[in-house]
Amino acid sequence: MDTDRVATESTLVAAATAALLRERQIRRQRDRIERTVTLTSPLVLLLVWEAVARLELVDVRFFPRPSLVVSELVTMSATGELWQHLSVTLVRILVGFVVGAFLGVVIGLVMGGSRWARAVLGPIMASIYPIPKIAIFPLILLVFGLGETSKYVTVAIAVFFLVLFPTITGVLGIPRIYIDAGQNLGARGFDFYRRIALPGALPSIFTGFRVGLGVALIIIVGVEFVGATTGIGYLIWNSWQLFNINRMFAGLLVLAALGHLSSLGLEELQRRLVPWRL
Amino acid sequence: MEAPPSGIRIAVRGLYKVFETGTGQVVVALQDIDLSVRQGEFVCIVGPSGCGKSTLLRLLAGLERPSSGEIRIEVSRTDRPVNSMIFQEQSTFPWMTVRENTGFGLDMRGVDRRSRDERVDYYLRKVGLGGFPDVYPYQLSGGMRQRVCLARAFANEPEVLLMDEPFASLDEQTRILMQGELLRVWEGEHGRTVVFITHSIDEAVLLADTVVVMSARPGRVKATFPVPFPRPRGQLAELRLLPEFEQLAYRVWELLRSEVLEAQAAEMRQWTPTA
Repeated sequence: MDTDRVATESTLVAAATAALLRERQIRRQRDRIERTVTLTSPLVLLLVWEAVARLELVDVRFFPRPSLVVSELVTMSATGELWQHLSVTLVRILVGFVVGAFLGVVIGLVMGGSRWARAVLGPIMASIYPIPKIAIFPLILLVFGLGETSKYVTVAIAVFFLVLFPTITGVLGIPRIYIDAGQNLGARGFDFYRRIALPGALPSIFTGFRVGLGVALIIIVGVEFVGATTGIGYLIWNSWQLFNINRMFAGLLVLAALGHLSSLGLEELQRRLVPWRL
Repeated sequence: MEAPPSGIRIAVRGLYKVFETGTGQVVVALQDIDLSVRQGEFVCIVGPSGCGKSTLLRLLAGLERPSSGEIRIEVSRTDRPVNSMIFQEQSTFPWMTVRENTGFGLDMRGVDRRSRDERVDYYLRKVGLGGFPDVYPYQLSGGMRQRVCLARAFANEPEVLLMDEPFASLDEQTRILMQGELLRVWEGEHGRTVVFITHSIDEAVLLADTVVVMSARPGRVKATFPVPFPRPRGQLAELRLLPEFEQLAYRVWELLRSEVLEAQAAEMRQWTPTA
């Protein structure tokens, strides 16, 4: 009978749908648990640390209770000391990063797009690149003096190389077909760099940005250890000299947050600038 | 589109292309090619693999230089590009939306925004993509991406459209649909000259005014067949059923068969086991 068959079929469909819904519910539950674990695991670590410190199972002169570190942070924030150091460090990273990244992208695009530029600049870049940038900080101090410029320049040089090479690789890695198609449609000179080379290399350029930003943080802390009287790096070094361990840990906490937030910010920027996929 | 006085849009005379392989062997890819394409003509070039038909198209596109001989493409309007190419591989720029891809050639020529958008919208509608101007190519199927390339090439309004096996990497059902689409768009255009490379004899006979058969390497023009079917061709499926279609396709195949065998024999001779 036709109606019978229709009836059986709809029961079967209903059963299959119910199974699907069950599966989805289980999946959602699992996702929720996973998210909770991810969020709570650092908190659990802090709680364990707090407990261990209170029970004096570690030397609290070196590893103070997190609650003390946080209260130190609150005090520093209230007095404005924290913001003063933080803003100085942020400006140094930002100026150095923007200048270095900009030059790295521009020169990287030119080197990626031109055989001649690679032949001329390639060996120079390759020979300067391996020098640890912190090692040239004394030289930069000589040239640019003790002011802010020397800090910007050191960060910029470090970032420059870390962005330059991924940019070159990115341009060279653009599939031939896009170069041909671009050329066929009349993209030449500046148009080629702006509409084909830059967007084609952008995923690779962002790899450079990520590494560059991480290294910028390392460099600025190193520079502030030895050559500054402000900034989070100075704050940590100075706290060590005064044996103010709570303040030192507060500085470390700020650096951790800074690193984390800046990489989140960069990810967001990438999502906006690279909305496409290959 | 006004025809050049001679009525000939593309003239190729005594064209040679010689390559050097990675091992230093000299290979003659194209030998003494003579070819004339009339204004508004749809020419399909068929030939065995490796006969240099894609090379010929790249030479016509100016992406490579001839070793000797001459290629002349008559230019009737200096404000338009000489050619636009549709490639076999996926060639939509992944970082541009459908709309940006389609308008790219016009952008490069500095066409003002309004007439660019008008033309882009017109051709996107023509290829059935009017509803997706702002999506990125990764969100599209292979057939849809090739439609974007079609719209991009037509919107650029070149003197000559060059197509390098544009449907070869599509599945058969999509390919059949796309052949119909291409003819529909092209037949509505009033005389844009097309050179279309293909492996498929069926495709050549369905689409072309003239089928050019090339020989195995070194590639030469072996024969040309005029295709008598009137335009617009309408339902291609019905065309396939005509005895004239069968006969013409068979004659092309007869001529090609020995060349394909020759190409395969050459491949066997040159094959060396890679260490």
